[in-house]
Amino acid sequence: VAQEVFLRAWRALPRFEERAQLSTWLYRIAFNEAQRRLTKPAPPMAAPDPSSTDAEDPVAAITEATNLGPEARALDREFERALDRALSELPSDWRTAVVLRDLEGLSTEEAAAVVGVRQAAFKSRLHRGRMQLRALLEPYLEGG
Amino acid sequence: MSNMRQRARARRDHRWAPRRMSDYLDGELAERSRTRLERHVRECEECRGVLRGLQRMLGKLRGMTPPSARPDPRAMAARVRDRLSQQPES
Repeated sequence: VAQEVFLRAWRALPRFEERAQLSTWLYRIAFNEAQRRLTKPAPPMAAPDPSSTDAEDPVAAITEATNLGPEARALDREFERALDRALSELPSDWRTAVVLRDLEGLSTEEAAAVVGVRQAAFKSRLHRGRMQLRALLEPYLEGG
Repeated sequence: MSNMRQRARARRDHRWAPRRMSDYLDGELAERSRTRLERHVRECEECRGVLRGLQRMLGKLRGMTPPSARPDPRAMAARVRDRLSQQPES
């Protein structure tokens, strides 16, 4: 998706009018591309190549460098898995709002522009998404 | 204020407050509404729990690496393999 987004952005760059920030414009292209792929039927799965398993592939085994200890890393990974599951349970409009605002760190104004809705409508989706996510993640939020 | 009026206000605020919590945590709530929400949260244990949970969750989410910046080792490996298998252009 990322490669397709940058390709589309490169082709559309002459039409970029600087009314929005470049980052907002890129998010908008990414959002449209993701929507387009989600509405397309899934392609058939390619058969795995037996000569290139992850276990043998030193590049695929790269993990994100972190200064956390093993226990904290395990808890972080557990939270990330729970978050992925919880996000997948949200309606897509609410999920998009939470991802853009709280994970990608866009402002309300930027995120609303990416989605193409008014700020009030965006805030409503964001609030509903956050409330449902909080309920789903409650066991992981206790005690700090 | 009589007890009856206080209870009626608390019930109204209990319905009103949760819908404003998101704006409150984003610092996007007008001062009057902020004061009203803070007063209710001090009085209502249930709403205090919801607000605290939202606050903790947002703290965790905002401390995470954004999905767009996360490395994807499988995709990276596939790209490297593709590049290595390509013949140099003549």
